[in-house]
Amino acid sequence: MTALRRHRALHAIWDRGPGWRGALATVNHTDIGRRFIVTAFVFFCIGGVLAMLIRTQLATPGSAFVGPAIYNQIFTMHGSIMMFLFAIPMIEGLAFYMLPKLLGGRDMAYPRLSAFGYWCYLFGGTILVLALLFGVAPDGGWFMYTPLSSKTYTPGINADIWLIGVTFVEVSAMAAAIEIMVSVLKLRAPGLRIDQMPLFAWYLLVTALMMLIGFPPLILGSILLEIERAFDWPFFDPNRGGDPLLWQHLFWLFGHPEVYIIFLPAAGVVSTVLPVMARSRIVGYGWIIAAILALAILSFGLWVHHMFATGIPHMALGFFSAASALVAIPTGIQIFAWIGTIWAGRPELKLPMLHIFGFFVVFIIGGLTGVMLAMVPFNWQAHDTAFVTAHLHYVLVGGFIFPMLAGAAYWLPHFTGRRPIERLGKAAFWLIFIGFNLTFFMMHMVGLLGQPRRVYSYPEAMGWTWYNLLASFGSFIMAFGFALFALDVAMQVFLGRRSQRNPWRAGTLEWAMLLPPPTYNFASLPRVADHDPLAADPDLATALARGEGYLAEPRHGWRETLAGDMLTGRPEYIVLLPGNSLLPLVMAIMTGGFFLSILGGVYVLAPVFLVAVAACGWRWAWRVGQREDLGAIDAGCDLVLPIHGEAPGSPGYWGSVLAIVADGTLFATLVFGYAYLWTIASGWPPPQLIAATPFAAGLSVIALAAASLAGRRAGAVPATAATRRIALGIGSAAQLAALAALVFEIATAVPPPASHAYAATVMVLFAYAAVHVALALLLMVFAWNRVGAGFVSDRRTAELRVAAMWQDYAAVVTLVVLLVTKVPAMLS
Amino acid sequence: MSALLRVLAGLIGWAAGFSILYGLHGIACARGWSAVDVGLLDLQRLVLGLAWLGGVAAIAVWTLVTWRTPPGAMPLLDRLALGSAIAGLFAMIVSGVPIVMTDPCRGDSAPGTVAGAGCCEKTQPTLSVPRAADAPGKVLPVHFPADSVDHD
Repeated sequence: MTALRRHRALHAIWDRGPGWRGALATVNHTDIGRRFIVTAFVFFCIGGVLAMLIRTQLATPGSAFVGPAIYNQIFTMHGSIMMFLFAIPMIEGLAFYMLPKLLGGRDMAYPRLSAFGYWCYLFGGTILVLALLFGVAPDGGWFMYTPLSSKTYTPGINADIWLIGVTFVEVSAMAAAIEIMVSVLKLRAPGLRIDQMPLFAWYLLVTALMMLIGFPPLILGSILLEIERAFDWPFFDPNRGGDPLLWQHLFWLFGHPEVYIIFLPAAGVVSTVLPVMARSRIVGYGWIIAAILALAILSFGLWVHHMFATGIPHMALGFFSAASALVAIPTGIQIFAWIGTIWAGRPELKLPMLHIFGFFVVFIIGGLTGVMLAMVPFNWQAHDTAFVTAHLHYVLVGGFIFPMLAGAAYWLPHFTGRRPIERLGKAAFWLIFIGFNLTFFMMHMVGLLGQPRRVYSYPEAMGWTWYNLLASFGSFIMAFGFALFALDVAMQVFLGRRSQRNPWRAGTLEWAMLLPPPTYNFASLPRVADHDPLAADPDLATALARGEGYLAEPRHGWRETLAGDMLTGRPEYIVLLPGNSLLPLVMAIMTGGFFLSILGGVYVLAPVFLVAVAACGWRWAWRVGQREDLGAIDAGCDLVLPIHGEAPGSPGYWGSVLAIVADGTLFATLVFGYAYLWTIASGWPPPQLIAATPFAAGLSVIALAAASLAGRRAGAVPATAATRRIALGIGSAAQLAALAALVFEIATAVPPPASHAYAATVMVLFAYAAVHVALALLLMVFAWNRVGAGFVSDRRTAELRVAAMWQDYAAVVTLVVLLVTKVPAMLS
Repeated sequence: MSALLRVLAGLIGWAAGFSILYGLHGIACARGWSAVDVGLLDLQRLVLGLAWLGGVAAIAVWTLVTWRTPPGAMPLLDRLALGSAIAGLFAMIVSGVPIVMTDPCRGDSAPGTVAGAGCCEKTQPTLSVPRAADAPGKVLPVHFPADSVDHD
């Protein structure tokens, strides 16, 4: 087959299809990645306009530009948009677009999940922005502290919009985290060992792990606060055993790792672009990986440094202050590795390098003010002032925006297939750099002079006028810089000259393809044995186009890529990826319906949409699942491999493992909240505990143990279809009995949840267990139907193993819930 | 997967030790352990100190095990596992220093913030939260009940 015929055949398989239907149904990672990036940039522009409004208001004392109510909405939405609708989705977009190309694959592990995540993000973000247009946007600050965000002080739907909209968007982030981890660990090119993986993939792997563990506390907090607002269950009400500080703990358990979740991928861009610009290899590859691993874990021990002024005891402050200072060490290691890389090479001051220069200056200043704020005595002086606002902007703009601008300048020829216009880009850089520093350096100063953050006005006598005026002036210079950047991109897209392949002479795989990239990335998949495969073999791109790699022959309309061993990259099986479908869009619409019915208080509709989501999920899994044994088939280069459904450790299996990790984190956080209230909050022990009767609880434990045994029997090999069906039938019946016992407990044993935070928390714990038993039941019934349809064999048991895994998880959480609720009641 | 978990083990050890210290600290303050003298120390410092030393010892043992483990197929992962163990050990040592240097349960708070969390008295101030929307330029009061907050 000639290269051109191969291109046409592969393109026909991987293309989105014509018209609107094709645009809506596409699941290709290049399309989804681009959409995330463009949508995130649109939200960035909206957030930027809000920032301009803030600076216009503060430019002069006593300004009447906007009133305080609108101002509250503007600064809340500015922060929320930049954090939730711009930064994280931009990372997701870059990861989706870049990872398969960087790792030598053809797509992400779950293309339909990518599409579903995008639609959730778009719909959730749209809810937030529409609220702004209608004047009902959130107005309690981007971290939504209670009691300000509780029903008493925010009676409208402003806070609900934040809680619902952000949670909707977080569905997308959780999906992306799982997808990135599985893609990096399993879907690398043959031979690409983990210790030779591009640093950007390491950064994204660690970031995804952090997202997996960092986002559930926020999702839980949002659920609890929304329940409190909707049904008056007092999790955060100190008069009924709640504690407003529980919200702060839940929020910052997410919020501080979030800073590193944003920083690490951007640092990955620096580690990728810098060596190319310096004409050198990265110095300290292993040290950098060690540093990002340390950052990832240490960052989960810092959250209380956002709460230093809340009256937490000195010793606890000391724990978190020490951890906050420690985290500077791995960051410093990365900085020195980058400086060493520049030192070892012959740097060229092209546009990406200029943005990296901006990153160094701004981020290091932000890091130093961060160390200042980590020290409790200074923190108390600067708390809640504009100094903190300036610091976080130095960290986030320095640590995210400048690296992303460097990445944009570096990869735009890849996206567009066209050359950049250097002068325009350089002018944009200088405007952004000068404008940013003028704005936020002044904000440091005025913060030290005592200006609180989030004030909508100030009297002239405070002496803050000139600082604010200069800051506002700087912000408009910066805005012109971003406008020039957008113009530069537009001109490159529409007027730029054709770019050559690999214009920067980089060594990574994403440049081993046509520009802009074809829908399938690589005509055949490479074998990789070097950190910089393109540097080791400059003719690699041509060889791959000629079909000299793996999976070179298009067949049966299959979307094929390879999966391998997590460490060595040794090929294990061929993954058949699902094609274009409207199902992700429909499912996202149903999910949106669920969230909107809660937002509108039409609770009767919520279960209807939930059933619709479950139906979509059922159809999705039914159609994607393999239906017959195919045996081992040719993968090219004398390699014969099974299909993913017939191999152990399929992407679906690992996705379920990671989903359980995230779910388990949410559950652990819920138990933490329960223990926290019991230990710290006033009004405990509660006036009424759960009924101590153990019968229903014992029944549910026995039934779930039986269901777990049945699940294992169903997945055992060898077994006949009839044996599997009987085991699954028994398991489902046992699950149904356990669910009934839990519902009985909820109805009869738990005190009224609005009476005390204890009762509310216990009710949520039981509801959590019941929901998971119901989910496990659904999966087991699904597996029962698959066996009945003849779609399961001794070679294809992945669906049974996934159902059994969720059943085991449901059993464990139910046992924990019963232990932490019933035992104290029995002992009292 | 186990090789990757080994790479993170030292740091996860620190995370576990740090969580235990913080959890024990909350319980100790709630139960008033700092007021119970046990020889030269109070009960809170004794329990937290033992937990700290236990954490340090456990990670130190793991570091030693990692140091003595024969090299595997991927030297980088071995080095990362050792680096993670050393980093976890160092972090654990530093994290516990406040046990011997700071006041066990006294908390101070900045005016206008919610105080009393983690304190044995389980007191909460009532806040009348200033809302900018109420009246532009009007200064609204923040009321704390007497003795609920330490003002040094």
